[in-house]
Amino acid sequence: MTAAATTAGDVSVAAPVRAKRGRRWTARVVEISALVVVLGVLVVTLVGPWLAPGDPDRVDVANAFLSPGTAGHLLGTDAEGRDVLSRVLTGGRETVLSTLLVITFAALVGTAVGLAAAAGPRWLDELLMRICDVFLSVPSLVLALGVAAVLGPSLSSAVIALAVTWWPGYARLVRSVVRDTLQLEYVAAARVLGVSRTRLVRRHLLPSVGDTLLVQTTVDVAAIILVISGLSFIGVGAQVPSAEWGAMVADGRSYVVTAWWIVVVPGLAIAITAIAAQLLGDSLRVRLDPTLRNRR
Amino acid sequence: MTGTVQAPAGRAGDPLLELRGLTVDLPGPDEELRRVVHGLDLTVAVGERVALVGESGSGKSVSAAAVLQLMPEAELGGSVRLNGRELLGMPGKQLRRLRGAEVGMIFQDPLTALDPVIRVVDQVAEVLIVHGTRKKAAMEEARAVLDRLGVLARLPRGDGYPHELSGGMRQRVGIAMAVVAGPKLLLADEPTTALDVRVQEQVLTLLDDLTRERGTAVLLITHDLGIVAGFSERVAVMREGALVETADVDTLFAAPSSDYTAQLLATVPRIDAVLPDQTSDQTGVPQ
Repeated sequence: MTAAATTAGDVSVAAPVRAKRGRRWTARVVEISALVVVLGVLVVTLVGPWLAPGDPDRVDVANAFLSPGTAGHLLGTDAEGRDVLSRVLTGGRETVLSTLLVITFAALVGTAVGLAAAAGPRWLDELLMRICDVFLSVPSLVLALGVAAVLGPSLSSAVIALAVTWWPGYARLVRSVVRDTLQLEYVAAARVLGVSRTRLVRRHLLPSVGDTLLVQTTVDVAAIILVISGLSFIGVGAQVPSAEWGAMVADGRSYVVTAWWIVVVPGLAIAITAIAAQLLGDSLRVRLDPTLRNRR
Repeated sequence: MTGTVQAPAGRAGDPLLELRGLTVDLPGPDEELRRVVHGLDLTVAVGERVALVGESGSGKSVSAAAVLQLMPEAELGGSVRLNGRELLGMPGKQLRRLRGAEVGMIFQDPLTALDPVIRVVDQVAEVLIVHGTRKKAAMEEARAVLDRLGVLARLPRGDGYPHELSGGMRQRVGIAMAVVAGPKLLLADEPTTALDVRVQEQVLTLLDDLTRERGTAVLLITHDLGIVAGFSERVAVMREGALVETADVDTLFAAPSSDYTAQLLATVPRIDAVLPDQTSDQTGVPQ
């Protein structure tokens, strides 16, 4: 290689490094803010009712449609004069808790089914995967409408419907990860040195699923929050007087033009939580995947 | 099961592993069984080192995997005896106790043969733990073996994960896992193929010393005749699933009885080869 070529090479190498550092800095800011928001939402979920300045369900028709900034009602009041700030702070509880419920159920059942399908005999794999196909073929929103029709519209109907339709995705995911892992030599090495099947699953297969599962759940949190809020909005989930973000949006939609805050405040809460969870999931994905780690 | 089935240690020269008419049928892409090993006869004596050589696809690895029945999809026939006990048709539980404790195995690729999320010491100790050793004693024993193999000193804080080690060091961990439970027989499936030449030599030397110390018999599976000469006493040559010839290392290298072996030998770049127009000190290979 000539001297000129070497110099040119050095320059072209140096430039991307600097660009990368810049991107890494912004990525870090996004990552940390996402984490802070998600943690903040979780804290509000836990202690929200105590943070709320007033009773979220106290009707005060004389003070309806107060705009944000009014003394005593920082974010205004809704059509029945209920304090919007108090309602948003309490409403997070139902949305977030039902999301976590759905995720936990889906992840646990999905992991169990996926593991059994991947590590078990072939007929079991076929059986479980066909069952997954059946559930995957029903759109969760449609099923939620069906469940609501049978059990009556309520937040628990929405949670049941979502949990029932969400686990097959996890089963598929876990099955594919475990199948890949089973091909690796270290699994063969463990078997050849006398490790039993159950120990193999527990010690060598489950840990390999952990990363993928963590990422998938954080990303799914966003989706489920949106679906639950959506269901509440169309009246299948949480019912209107209750302080739940989706229901609050539904409640205020007739007054969007005159009293925007009734819709915008819970809407923002949904959007910010979903976006933060999505961003957090994304950065976790990059962090935990060694092949992506250097590509940022 | 009658307690521990650990057979009497056996004197050098007694047969340890006996393959008689071993056949292996594997399902092909069309799910139809295809015979890949046609009646293999092979004996490894107590403490003996036998090399099983042959080109890729000659059935040597499959034969070794058949000893421990590692391929659930394969149909095995013939007889595999270890210390006189028939392994084919042995119940899974009994077979599992045998794996690791009486027969150890070393794999080709040290990068994938270790679980990336389990600490190296734990991984070695696990072999002992699954065979009933208490955790504390197992950890001590694992450390001792890793120390003997020179791995412990390379681990940060004497602890750490496989990715913190080089390829050669990881293969030593693989050796440690294979020998830690004190097996009488070691199956080494291309243990040095994935390593560079200098590291190959170190790893082979260590394997050699360690198995001599412990009197472990080794079945070395390789396509590299270059490493066979210094390591094993006897060589079995396989081709297309059948044995071509078995001979002492010296006999085989000096006067191969089959054309195929002669061809194989001709492919090996040899340090001591004296070519017509060249003297040995010009080969440029440092001793």
